[in-house]
Amino acid sequence: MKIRERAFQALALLMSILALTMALAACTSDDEPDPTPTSAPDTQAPAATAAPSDSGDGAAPAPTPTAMMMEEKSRYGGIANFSTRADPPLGWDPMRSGSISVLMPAGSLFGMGNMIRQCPDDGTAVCPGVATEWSKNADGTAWTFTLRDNVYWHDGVKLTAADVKFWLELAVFGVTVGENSRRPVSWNFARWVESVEAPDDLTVVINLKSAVFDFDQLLAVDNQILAHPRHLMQPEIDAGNVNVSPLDVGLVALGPYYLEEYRPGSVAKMRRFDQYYKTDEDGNQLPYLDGIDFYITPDPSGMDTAFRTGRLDATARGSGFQLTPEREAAIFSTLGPERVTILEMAQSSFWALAFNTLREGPLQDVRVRQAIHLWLDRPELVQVTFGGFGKMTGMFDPDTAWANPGLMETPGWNPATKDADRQQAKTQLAEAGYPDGFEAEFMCRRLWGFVCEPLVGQLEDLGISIDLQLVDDATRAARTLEGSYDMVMSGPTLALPSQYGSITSSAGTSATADSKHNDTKVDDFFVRLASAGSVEERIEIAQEMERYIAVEQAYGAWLYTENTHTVVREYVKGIQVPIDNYRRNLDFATVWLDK
Amino acid sequence: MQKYIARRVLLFIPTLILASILIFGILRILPGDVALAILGQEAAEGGGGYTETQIRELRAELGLDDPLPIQYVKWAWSMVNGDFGGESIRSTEPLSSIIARRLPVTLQLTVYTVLLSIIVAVPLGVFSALYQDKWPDYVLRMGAILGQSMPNFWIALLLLLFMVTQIGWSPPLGYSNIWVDPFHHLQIMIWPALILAWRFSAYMTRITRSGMLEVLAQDYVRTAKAKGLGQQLVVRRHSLPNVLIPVITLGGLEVSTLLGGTVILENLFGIPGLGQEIVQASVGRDFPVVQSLAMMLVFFMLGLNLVVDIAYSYVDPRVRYS
Repeated sequence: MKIRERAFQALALLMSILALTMALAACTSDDEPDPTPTSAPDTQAPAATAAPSDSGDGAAPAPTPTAMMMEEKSRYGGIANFSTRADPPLGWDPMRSGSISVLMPAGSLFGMGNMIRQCPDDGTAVCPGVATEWSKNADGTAWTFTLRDNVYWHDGVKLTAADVKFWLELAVFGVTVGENSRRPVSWNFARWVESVEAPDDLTVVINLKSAVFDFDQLLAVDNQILAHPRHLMQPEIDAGNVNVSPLDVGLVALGPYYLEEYRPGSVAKMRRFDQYYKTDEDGNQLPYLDGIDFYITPDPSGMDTAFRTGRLDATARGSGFQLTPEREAAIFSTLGPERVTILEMAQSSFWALAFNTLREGPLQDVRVRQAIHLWLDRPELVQVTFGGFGKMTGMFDPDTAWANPGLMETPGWNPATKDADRQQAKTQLAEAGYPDGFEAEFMCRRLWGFVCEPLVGQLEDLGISIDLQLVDDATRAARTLEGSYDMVMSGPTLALPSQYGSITSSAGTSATADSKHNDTKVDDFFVRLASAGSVEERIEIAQEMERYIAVEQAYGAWLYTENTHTVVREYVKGIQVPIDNYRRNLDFATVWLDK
Repeated sequence: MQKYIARRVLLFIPTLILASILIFGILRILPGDVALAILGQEAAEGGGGYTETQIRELRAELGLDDPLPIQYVKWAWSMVNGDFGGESIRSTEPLSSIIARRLPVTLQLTVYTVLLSIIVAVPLGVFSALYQDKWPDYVLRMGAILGQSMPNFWIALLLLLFMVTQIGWSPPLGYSNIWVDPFHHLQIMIWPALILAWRFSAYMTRITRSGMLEVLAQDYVRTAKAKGLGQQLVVRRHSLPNVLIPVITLGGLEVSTLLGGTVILENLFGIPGLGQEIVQASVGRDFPVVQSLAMMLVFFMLGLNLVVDIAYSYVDPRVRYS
């Protein structure tokens, strides 16, 4: 009897503990937003109705955004529900993370770029950001920017040249207070900056260490976002918090939407910022939407499900979240193609098979490297690897002016001559002394196994016995420094000459480069690009560089880029799709809902 | 009794220390330098190159320059003093804040699962035993076997697919606190709770059933029946209390595994609990988060074991004398 009573008492005790835990849990996990929510000011800043739209640029004509779906009359109102794959890391700080998890929601909050930005429909052109005009001095060592007079932070404080100076110096030089140091960023423009001046409230002068004639292109990269309010961050830094992030100061920014609420792991709610400085082509105040809710959907299956049932208006970007043909078909089967719009965007990184010519072996012979270039069937690889969602490339996007015209019709790329190319590849391999092939170590980032495995199949058809080594990031980085591989899958061979810093890191002679060689002529191309006085001259150098690296010397076999597919519902209009680079951020200022 | 509890608590501490050494050690023997992994990942994803100086600075920033024992002591002390391992590399958020925000969500999911399981499993176990080897028993046993054998994530995916294709509905996005928006909260939490409860209640149903069968065969039950008591009274008053002893013990132990079981489901249903954080941290090589959250889970598992042991000794006095 006693045992039974005690059993009941123990059960009651257990239930009480559980109930108490639940109550405690519910009480402590309040829905409080992580940062203090900011609200749009009512009176501190005048409405930016007179602001020019993306025009008034002194350096480049504002493009007509061809990718904008603006054929219908846009209208105000509505909350869009978009997906993002994860909480933005590192305090939403674009200076510290280029992750798509930051970029997806960051544009709407921070705006695009900084003083200047990449144009929406052409990443190779420069458009105004918070500056309206910019110019360089005769020798290309000083750049002067004139800011708009109607730009406000979300807390109503006016943006001045001192704010931009603060942001530039934080990025370029970092900061040290006592024993605490903040590292400078690795953005490409930063290496050239010697000093920054703010002679008056609307003028910023950037002095460079040496002449850089395309400095505006280096600075305009959309992901280099002005997201660091001096009036909020400087006191934090002075107090020793040198790594203060935008999240730490409430995500007060300059973009078309302000942050109303952020629940980590769940949702970030943005609402229209009435004092946003941009208008549309008709002079109407942007943005059109009342707001955007970015739901954090860490699982692609969960995201697809929510999109298919109408809980989301757009899917997320990023690895694993861009649609595969199978997932796209599943969405079509539920919603039908007429209720969905596919946004097709090129990846910023072009895949290449990089060769190590410093290691004793067959790949030191240019004929062997060219044989591999000739042998690889790129269209088949695109089909097998990405289900057809991709296209062949050289070092640059073949659809831009920077690529060599007709390169995709030359041996190696041209599908029509593939049989002859492959015959030639066999011949060259035999001439190099390897008629029966050879053995090679192929290092591949573990996450990229699905990309490397189809390549192994094709290389083995050529007679090369491949030892595929899938490695983690740390091992890959260490072995890249050592050069202990014959070939390696290389991702970040960026499309634009203005990003030659990254090209240097993958194709130049630096220790972290994927292609291994001692050819200083490659590095010379980057120096020449930096000192070229005109766009035409840079294009000429870029094309010469592409022919030299990818064809004549074949330091790598450039393969393809993946086209990412993201879907939005058919009633989501006005998205400015970054067709040339899916990693560019979007501000969604021109988005409106037709429902 | 006090002596028994003191002994169990004393055993709890070295077990916890051993577990912490294991967790710390395992993360340190993983191949590769964490600093290189972080910089290498940035470079591989288009972030440009990096220099030896940057590698050195990042190592220093992460505290990787210290000897391993020093690193361990620093981490262990931070677990004790409430810092819980410092801050996340990925988000720069203090771990204490991450845990304070996410642990309650996971505990809620666990509590719902346990409550649902207890409500369902005990009656079904009794029912199954009373109809031993008849069709209700077969049906319930089959359901229990299915619940135990099918992976949670697979059931979850099937459930989501079923909802999308058959009724055009899916759980809402954006977690809400139960006190702020109970209906929204339940619409999100009920599905993973049901899936987890299926597995958990399957286990408890089987324990209840076998315990009940054993008790029903006892002499005192036969005596109760012989003196004319109805079946309901025999089961409720004479049998069930004795069955509950193993149910509490084994069920309590199984609760600890539920905490681990929430990892994938939280990710799938977008529930911002510890499981979701562990997945994101693992993908991002955020080792302070992984090791501290793993330690938290171990702490809870050991703590539950301790509570169950003490509760068991309270229910059955023979335990504390053995």
